[in-house]
Amino acid sequence: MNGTPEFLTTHWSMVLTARNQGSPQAAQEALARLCRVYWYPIYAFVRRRGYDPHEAQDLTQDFFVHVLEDEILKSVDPVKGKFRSFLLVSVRNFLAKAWNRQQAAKRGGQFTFVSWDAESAESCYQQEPSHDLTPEKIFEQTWAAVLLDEVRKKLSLEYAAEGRGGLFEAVEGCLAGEKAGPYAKMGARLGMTEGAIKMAVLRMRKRYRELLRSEVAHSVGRLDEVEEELRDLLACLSR
Amino acid sequence: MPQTTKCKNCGAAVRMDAPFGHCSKCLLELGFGPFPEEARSPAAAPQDQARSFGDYDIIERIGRGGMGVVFKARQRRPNRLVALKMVLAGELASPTLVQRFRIEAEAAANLDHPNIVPIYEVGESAQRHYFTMKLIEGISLAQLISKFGFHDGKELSTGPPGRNVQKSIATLMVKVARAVHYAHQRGVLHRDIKPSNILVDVQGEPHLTDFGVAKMVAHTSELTLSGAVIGTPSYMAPEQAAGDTKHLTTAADIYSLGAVLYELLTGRPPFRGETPVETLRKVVEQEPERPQSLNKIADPDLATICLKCLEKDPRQRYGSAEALAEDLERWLRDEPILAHRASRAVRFKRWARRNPLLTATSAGLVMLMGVALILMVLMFAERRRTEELSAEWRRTEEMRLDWREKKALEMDDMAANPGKYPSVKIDSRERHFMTGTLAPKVIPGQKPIRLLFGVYPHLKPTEMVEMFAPTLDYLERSLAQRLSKPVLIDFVVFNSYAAGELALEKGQVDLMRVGPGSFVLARRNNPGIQLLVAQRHNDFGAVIFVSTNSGVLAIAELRGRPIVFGDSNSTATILAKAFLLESGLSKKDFSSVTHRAGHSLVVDAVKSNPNHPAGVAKETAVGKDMRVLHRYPIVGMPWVARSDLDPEIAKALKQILLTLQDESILDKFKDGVTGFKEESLEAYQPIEPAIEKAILFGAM
Repeated sequence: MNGTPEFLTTHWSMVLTARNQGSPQAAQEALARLCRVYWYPIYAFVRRRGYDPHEAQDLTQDFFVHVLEDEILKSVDPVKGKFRSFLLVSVRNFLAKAWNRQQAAKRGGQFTFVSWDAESAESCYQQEPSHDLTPEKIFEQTWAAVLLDEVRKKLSLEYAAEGRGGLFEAVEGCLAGEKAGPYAKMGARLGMTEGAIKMAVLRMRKRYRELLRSEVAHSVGRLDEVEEELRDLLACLSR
Repeated sequence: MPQTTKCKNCGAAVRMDAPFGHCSKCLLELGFGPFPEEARSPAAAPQDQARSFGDYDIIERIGRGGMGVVFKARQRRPNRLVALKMVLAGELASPTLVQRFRIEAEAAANLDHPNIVPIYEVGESAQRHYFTMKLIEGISLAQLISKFGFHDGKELSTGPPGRNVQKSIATLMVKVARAVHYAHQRGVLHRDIKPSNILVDVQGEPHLTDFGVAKMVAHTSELTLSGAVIGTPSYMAPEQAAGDTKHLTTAADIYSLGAVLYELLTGRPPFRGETPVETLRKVVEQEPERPQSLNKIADPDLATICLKCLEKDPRQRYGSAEALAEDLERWLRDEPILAHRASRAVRFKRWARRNPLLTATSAGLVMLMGVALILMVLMFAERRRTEELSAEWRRTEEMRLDWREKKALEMDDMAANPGKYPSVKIDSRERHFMTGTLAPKVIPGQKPIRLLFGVYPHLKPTEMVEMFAPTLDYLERSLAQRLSKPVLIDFVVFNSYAAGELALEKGQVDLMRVGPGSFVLARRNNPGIQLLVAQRHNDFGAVIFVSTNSGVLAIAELRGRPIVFGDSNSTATILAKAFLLESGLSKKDFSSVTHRAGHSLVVDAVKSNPNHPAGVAKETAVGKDMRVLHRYPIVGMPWVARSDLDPEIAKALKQILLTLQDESILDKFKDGVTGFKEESLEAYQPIEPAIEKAILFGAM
């Protein structure tokens, strides 16, 4: 893959290049697509900064309105920088500048592309471990969780589309290996041989990896940054 | 306190809803290189991916366009050289676009014509969508245009095309137009005909490339990356330039053919601005210059043919690409062409030149004035008619709303009493009344063609009217245009599959949309029933499903449980029963077997029954909260005609349906109908044995 960099057009690279070519609309669309996936880490970050659920909902919405304005894109380093870092830096600055919030609030009504169920956001946040993580830390953790959730969603949709939703549900727990339960037992339940289950798990894992890497790729600018971002995220979780 | 569980791999604490039941760390780690046991599998990427792509070895890059990169490549099996087009990642931004791309490319892949570059394969590899085509050794018409003697519109290098070159141009365009017509008959629009999409091989034969897909894929980037990828809109029909991509018809392709012909005659496309936006504006607003003013020796008749294609109003262009080809052939044979009215004056002038004795200039003038007078009268009559219609419209509007309520109640009541009424009928005028559209005008004394169109019930009759009204309106308009007579289509909804099948067998309906199973069943008793077209679906299938909390994971576990099917003559039911029988289950193996009249009713029955029955319904009716145990595709629903329907009407209906691409009409059908296609009777043959098995399923 590294040999064919010209093929790569990720959402984030589209944001960066379109911005350089002076096409804010393309940039906005790609950006909105990214924001739709990664709004929850922002909400969690804002909540952990000490805002109550109501304030956090408003601020998160305002923040995305602010992000989807073109001015903020101009501040992105055109050569490097990942979407994750961009978002984290932006939300920190945003919370620091009260006037920004008021500005955005005035315009809030017209932007509806980052919509979410505010109540489910809060109930999701209530499920976060309650020990004292920093806002940054919770941002990174929920980022990884949202990313992985998105990958699982895509994978399960693919299986469902092929009419193998039942198989997926049965074997998904074995994604990382057989520890979750012996293949033989599972096979007996599904009317499949042990070998067939093993094959099914291998295929699922392969496809999972492809989807994961592609999802990560969308939040970075270049393909060779995918592994780096994976390592980075792992490091964030281990710290 | 949040509930947690253990990571299925490492045992770390994770949230209950953790994806795959794994912790984030384990999941992220899986993103690195392949596991040892996977390394042996062939798909686990060797290092030289740059040079190979799926089953192809890339030889060299031969082009780059708005939609992606084109490579010359060698396919390994079968071993052949191909042109491989790779769609830029990000171009197909949504799953819907991906699906549309595939449908379009697959439709184009079915085109088999000597002047259309065949598509070999449509696929996806390494998450890149691509398609491969026959590699044509030759050059594009865009490159060839310079050989005809033009560098651009103003500067002539070796002189404009003379009479002989114009003849070769016309001959070439006849072939291209026929190829376009062939595709139109199969429901495929090109959408982006331009010189660079017409390849000319060493024998001088034209080959049209990128059918259906180029514009579709380029679409998003044109909207977003202004200027960068937009290319020139010089060949785009005004309705297309104005952004109306939804309602494009064959007329848009005919416009583009005219634009190519224009450039071949004059050395420049009909409109060209400093910027794409300016060109777009000119396409929409300005009239093209007459070709003769750019090339003095351009033949006036050929210019007229060209300008007829370039009419702003799609209805003023040739009715089909075939009509264009025929007119070009007339010109090649030195016969009078049929192109628009102005040509009469031109012909008169030519005739006058040949017969100088009879000519006085005044005669020509008189004739021209006559033409102008006729035009004015026609225009006036048209305006009067529009005024009359709007008055009629106002008068009826209030009545309409009252009546609509009443009729709707009546119809739904009829449907609720199937024993009493085997069918519910609504005639053309009533239908227009209900939907608020103008019924076709029938001049007193003129006998309209009346057709009866039938369907089965899978929704309430009023909902069925809403679903079919736009199509029937469209058929009325298009048929009237083709047959030059007013056409009224009445609508009947049968109260059961069996009632519909019987009416079809007896020839009581002229036209009907039926299920594939019913079609096969009805043909057993009346083999004369004509298959016109089949619906082209966006991956249409049915499923055997259970609710997720039933605990059932496999078909075998259905033994001893209840099951709910749709109508016993529906294809989904027939195929499901055949499949169950093959899986070793028959009626006696279920605790109960019931049938419901519609797909959504089946889903409701499954949801509301605490015994968790299995259900059988089309996939689109089944929600995400259900677990699919088995999915099977269903062949496109046929639109059929009674055996003795006037062949001229049957032929016209078929052609109109094949070229119907208006999404606002098609979307009404739900189920992802993307248009219509020609289908052979063989496609329905697999249902025959399934019917026998479905009977066995119930008998055992």
